[in-house]
Amino acid sequence: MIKLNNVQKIYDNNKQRVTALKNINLEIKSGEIYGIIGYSGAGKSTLIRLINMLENPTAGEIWVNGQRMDRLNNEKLRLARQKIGMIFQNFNLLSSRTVRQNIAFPLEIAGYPKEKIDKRVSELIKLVGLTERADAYPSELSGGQKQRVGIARALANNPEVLLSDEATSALDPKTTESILNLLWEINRKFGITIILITHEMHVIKKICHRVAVIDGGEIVEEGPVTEVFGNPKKEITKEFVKQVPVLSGND
Amino acid sequence: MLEYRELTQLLEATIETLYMLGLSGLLTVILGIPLGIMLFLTDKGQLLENSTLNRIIGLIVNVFRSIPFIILIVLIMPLTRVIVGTTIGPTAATVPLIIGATPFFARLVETALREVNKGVVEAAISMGANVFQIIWKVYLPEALPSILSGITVTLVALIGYSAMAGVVGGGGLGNMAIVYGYQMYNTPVMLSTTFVILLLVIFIQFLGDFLARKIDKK
Repeated sequence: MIKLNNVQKIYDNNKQRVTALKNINLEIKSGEIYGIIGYSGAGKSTLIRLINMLENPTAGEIWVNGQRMDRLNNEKLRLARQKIGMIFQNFNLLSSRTVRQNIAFPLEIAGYPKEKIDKRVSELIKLVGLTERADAYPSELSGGQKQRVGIARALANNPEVLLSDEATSALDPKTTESILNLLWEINRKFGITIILITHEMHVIKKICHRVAVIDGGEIVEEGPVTEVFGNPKKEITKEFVKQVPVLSGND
Repeated sequence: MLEYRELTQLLEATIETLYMLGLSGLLTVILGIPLGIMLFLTDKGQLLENSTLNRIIGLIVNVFRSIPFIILIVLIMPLTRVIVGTTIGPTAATVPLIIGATPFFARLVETALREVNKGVVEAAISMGANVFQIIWKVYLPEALPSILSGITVTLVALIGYSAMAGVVGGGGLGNMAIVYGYQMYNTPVMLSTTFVILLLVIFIQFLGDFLARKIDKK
């Protein structure tokens, strides 16, 4: 489904070179929930942005669904992106649009006729449980509701992949729970592959099948969640394991 | 008090000013929005980054913004004659008004676009939006309340400019104030024209603020 081969990312400002990612190899299977955990600055945000080419790799190959993403021309890349949903820590909703209009946005981009958009949007609003708030503006919503709009929007085009960039990091523990449940449900119902990055161990433990621990731009451990955290080898992994009881107190 | 003759003259001058304001305001917005978009999008790190084009547009904008308006009117008289056929009257005055106000407004549009949340733009890119869609569906609607405030500021500035245009025969309230009020020592004319200009400014500012608040959903 998704494959990263020897991916490297170097930021080259005039003055200094920063290696954000070095030699990343990753394979994510179809239908999997794959977590990438690391502290801020570890390179996880860069990593997830490489998958839909919001960042260009300096070297290496990025494959999504049999397509070599880093070799697509602009037009093909736009079409490929329409099949990769993304949700964000700060939701990134259009403040000038209502819930309904925000969810319709990617469908307008893809050029669907209005009747089709309306029908799909209604389905999605129901799916994320926002029927009552369909005509509210983002400023009138709570954080959890905003992220539900973000999820509905990301699913609008029936994507095969959903990228989650710290989607629960701005939410309180209870809301985090409900958003994670929603992601879990979506994964099971539609078989969408979900790749999420987080710094919270709890998120990984709760919904991920497999996990990669990233530190200093490198993947230091990788495998099924139970294996990686059942028998942590690296110091950083052990630190994350220690986080769990603290953060999942309401489990 | 104003005589009847002066009163009709005041009405005529007000209509002339409104005409200058309407025409130059409309064209300033039509020209200034694309110019502001270009200024912003060609800047470093933006969607259509192009430092050469950015520098050229920036230079033109800065040059025209630096020329005092009263001098600009005189400087571009040959151009005004080519476009309108005369350099006198309200229609002729709109040429310098547009040239004076467009760079000013374009900078306001640029600033408004710069305030749009980068994350929202990134979200649109991640959905496969093209540059045109990002401008039309993200930047402009998200920046609309700020752009509207920019239009208000520009219209108020245009009232001031149009009064100056009156000095060199542009017509309107400024012309009346100078020629019939100041130069003929007619204080009531002077005061009443000033009063109408004041009312215009207050009304435009009020309307602009009201609309901006109404469409701002942030």
